[in-house]
This record gives sequence, C-alpha cells and structure tokens, in this order.
Amino acid sequence: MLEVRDLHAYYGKSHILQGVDLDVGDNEIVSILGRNGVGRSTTLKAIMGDPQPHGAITFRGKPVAGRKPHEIAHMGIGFVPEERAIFPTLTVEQNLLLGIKGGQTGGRWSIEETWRLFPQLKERANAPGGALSGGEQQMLTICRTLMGDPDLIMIDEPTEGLAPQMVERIGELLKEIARRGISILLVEQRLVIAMRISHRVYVMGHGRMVFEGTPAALMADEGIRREWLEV
Amino acid sequence: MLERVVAVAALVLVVVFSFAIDGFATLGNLRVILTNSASLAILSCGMAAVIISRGLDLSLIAQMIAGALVFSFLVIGGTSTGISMLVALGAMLLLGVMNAWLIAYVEIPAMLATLASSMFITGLFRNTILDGGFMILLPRSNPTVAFLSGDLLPGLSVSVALMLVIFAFTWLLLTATTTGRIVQAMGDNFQAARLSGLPVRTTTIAVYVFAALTALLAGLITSSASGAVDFRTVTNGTLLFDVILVVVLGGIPLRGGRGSVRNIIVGLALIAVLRNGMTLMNFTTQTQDMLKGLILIVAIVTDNYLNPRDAETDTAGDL
Repeated sequence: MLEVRDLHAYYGKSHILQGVDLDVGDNEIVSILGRNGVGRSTTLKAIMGDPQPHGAITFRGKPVAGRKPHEIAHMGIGFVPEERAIFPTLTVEQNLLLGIKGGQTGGRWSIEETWRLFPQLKERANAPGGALSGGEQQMLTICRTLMGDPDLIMIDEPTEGLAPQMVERIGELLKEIARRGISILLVEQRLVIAMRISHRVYVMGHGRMVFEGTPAALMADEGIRREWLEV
Repeated sequence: MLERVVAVAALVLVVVFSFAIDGFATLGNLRVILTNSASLAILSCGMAAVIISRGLDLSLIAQMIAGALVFSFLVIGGTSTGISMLVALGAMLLLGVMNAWLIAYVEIPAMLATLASSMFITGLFRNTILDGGFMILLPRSNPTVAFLSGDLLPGLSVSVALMLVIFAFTWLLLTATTTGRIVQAMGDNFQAARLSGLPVRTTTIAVYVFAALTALLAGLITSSASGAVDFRTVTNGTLLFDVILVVVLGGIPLRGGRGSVRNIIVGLALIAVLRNGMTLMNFTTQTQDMLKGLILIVAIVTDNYLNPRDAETDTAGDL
C-alpha cells in the first residue's frame, strides 16, 4: 500500500532522514520505534509533504512525493500529528463533520460510531473542542481523521502525556480501527502498546531504519533493543 | 469580552453625545449615521470573512474604487447598465482570485500579497482607464446611480437596505454553510486544516472573491452618493483603517478563528457613532484620526491580552 524508498529530509541544514525504507501493506499495523530525535515523527511528516521529502514515496502505486498535504490526504492517507490537531473554537460535532471530505459517501467510520465508542464526546458534542481534556482531544483528532475514510492512518505518539486509563482507551481505538481494514502506521514511545498490536515493527536510529521484523523477532533480538531502544 | 467592552463604550458614547451635542439624538441623525456607515459595514463583512480565515486584505479599498471605476467608465461611455455591471463583477472576480492565488498557491503572506496588489490595482487602473488621473465623475442621471443614492422606502435608503442584505448573507455564510465552518477552521488551526485535507485553497479563493464583491458594492454605493469615483480614497483616505478598526473592535481576533456578524455590528456601532459625534462637534480630520489611532492601539493591546497567542496559534507569517 505505502512504499517509501531512500527517503531523505532536512530541517534547514540538518539532514534528519538519511535514506529511510519503509513498507505498509493492506490491513497491516506497523509501528516505528526508536529514541527521541532519531526522525520517527519527521518520517510521517515528510510522507505528508512537510518537510519536503527527497526520495520515492508511493501510495497504492501512485507517487506521493511533491504533492501538497491536502492532496495527499485526499489520496487516502490520514495523519494525526503529535500536537493535537483540533479546531479549538469549533464544537466537537463540527470538528468531526469537518473530517468528511467533499463528495465522500459511505465511509467506514461514522459520527454514530464515534458517539458509541466515546460517549463522553457525545455528551460534549456542542462544547468547543478547546474545552476537552488532552486525551479527549486526541480521541477527537483520531476520530475526525477517520471520518475522512482513509485507507491508511498515520498516528504520531497518540499516548504522549496521557493518563494510563486514557492510554488503554487509545489502544482499544487502534484495534477497532484495524478491525475496519484500515492500515495503521504508528509512531509510539510506549513499547508495550506497539508490541501488542503491531504486525511488524521498525526500529529507527540516526535517520534510517536499523531493524525490521515482527514484534516477536524484536523481543528476541536483545542487541538491537539494547543499542537502539533502551535509554 | 472585547466585544462587550466595546458595546458598553458605544452605549456610553451615545448617552454622552445625546446630552452634549444638539441634534445628535434625533431620528434624522440616526438615518444619517446608518446611511454614512453602509459602505463601511459592507466592507467590514468582506474583511471579517478574510480575517476569520487568518487572512488580511489590504487591497480592499483599491478594489472598491477599481470596481466602481470599471462600472462608471463603461456607463459613461454608453454601455448598458447590465453589461457594465457584469464587466465590473468579472473584474472583481479576477482581483479576488489574483489575491487568493498569491496567498494560497504562491504562498506569499496575505499582508504582503494584498499590500502589493493594492499598489498594483491603483497603478493599473489609474494608468489604463484614468490616463494617470485620480477621478472620474458619475452621471447622476444614470438609473443605477440614482437608485443607489435614493430611498427604497420612506425612511430606508437603498444603501442601508443593501447593508442589511449583506449582513444577512454574511451571517448565513459564516454560520450555516460548510464553507463558513472551513473558514473558521482555517483561522482556528491552519496546519490542522491543511493536514486533514480540507479544501483550504479553494476556500481562500471563495473568501477573497467574497471580499472583492463586498468592495464592489461598497464602491458603487459610495460613488453614487458622492457622484465621483476617486482613487484618493485609497491613497489619502483612512477607510481601510476604519474597516480594520471595526473588525478588531468588534472582537474578531486578528489571528482569526472566530467571529460573526454580531462582532461587526458592535465594532461598527462604536466607529459610526464616534465619527458622527466628532463631525457634529467640528473636530478636525487630524484630531479624528488621532483619536481613532489611539482607539485602535488600545483595542489591539486588549485583543492581545484577551486572545493570547499560544504554541498552536503562534505560527510564522500567519497574516
């Protein structure tokens, strides 16, 4: 579904991504692990076109690199950035409705689905998005992205700064997304969640992938874990 | 919050002026205030939509005069009123698309793009149509000119009626349409709007074209009332300043994201009453400008205090 080959990206003169190779298949959950600052978030952002990617990125066989973020979103890639991307003065319901793309009908996710899974969002349907807690804002951002019916959703650190109870709920949400046949590319700090739900994991170090395999293979490879994951 | 402070200030001014100025609290003067404020109100609706989307249109007054000039030039030359109006509408469409293209596609900050287009429009139209001159006189005998400067009903001038229509249209646009929600979302969190695939570029075009159309209407009303289309309104006047004053005083934050017709009405009430009172008290233009400048500074400082920028909204080049 998503193929990334020899991806390079820069912030000013800093060469952040130094030849990233990455694949996400149909109905697959893939996680990118690694320490802070190795380029995990930048990989997702470069796929979305900002910072400008250098290298080959294709989605369902079509080139992605060089397109604008909103065009990439329309190709079927949803992106949930680390900083909660809600519209703070719009209501919760308006936030969700804005996720629906023009001319789109019959997506795999609906507003009723959101209300069913997150009754607390329904209770606050008419409250401004900015009044929600951090965890609720994260839920809202993910659900709004799902309203656009993406084939692949890229989620950057969804559990960052959340209470343990909220972390569990995000884990449940990710499994629910996967059950709908939506592929997930996850950047996650919490190893436990990533290992539990992923089909494949990548470990990133110094701007490129240093490991690719199943969670079980990663658990078995103590050398990689010690060198690239443990603090 | 700022909106409430300004609404109270406007009420206080009305009370003070009613006691202090003979002839202020009369029905006739109320009509004068409304009629004189119609084009300012219509321009403010266009500017408000632009600002809510986190934009700015500094070329609004240049567009206003350019639109009125195209219409007047054709009418004077003998073209029918209908065709002249269509050509003027087409010209405004082009100017609105030009601004939006510079901002959304070339990605020049709105403040710089519209500052440049304001100079470009003024130069272009003065050179090509006015042969370097400043103004053109409008024939009062033209039915459209006579209509726009007259009364629709006894006590209700056409300009005030048009102002009410634009208020209603702007209210509908901002509250009842998807475009309105996208406009608000763009001001609220532009990066999120872009990344979630909202049509930010086409919405930018819609917003700047709407602003251009309000400019044309305001231009026709102003020129019909004065009998002249005069580019000195752009080069020497403070109308653009008044428009921004109305929007900011009404409580629409310059970083965008929220605002409604109610905000425009509140801002307009203060500026319209102030302008009228100062004129009745024979304040010189310079004194009026000085007071309005002070009020704008106080309003922007208050706006910054009440709507502080945070990590989410403090993005470079957002004007």
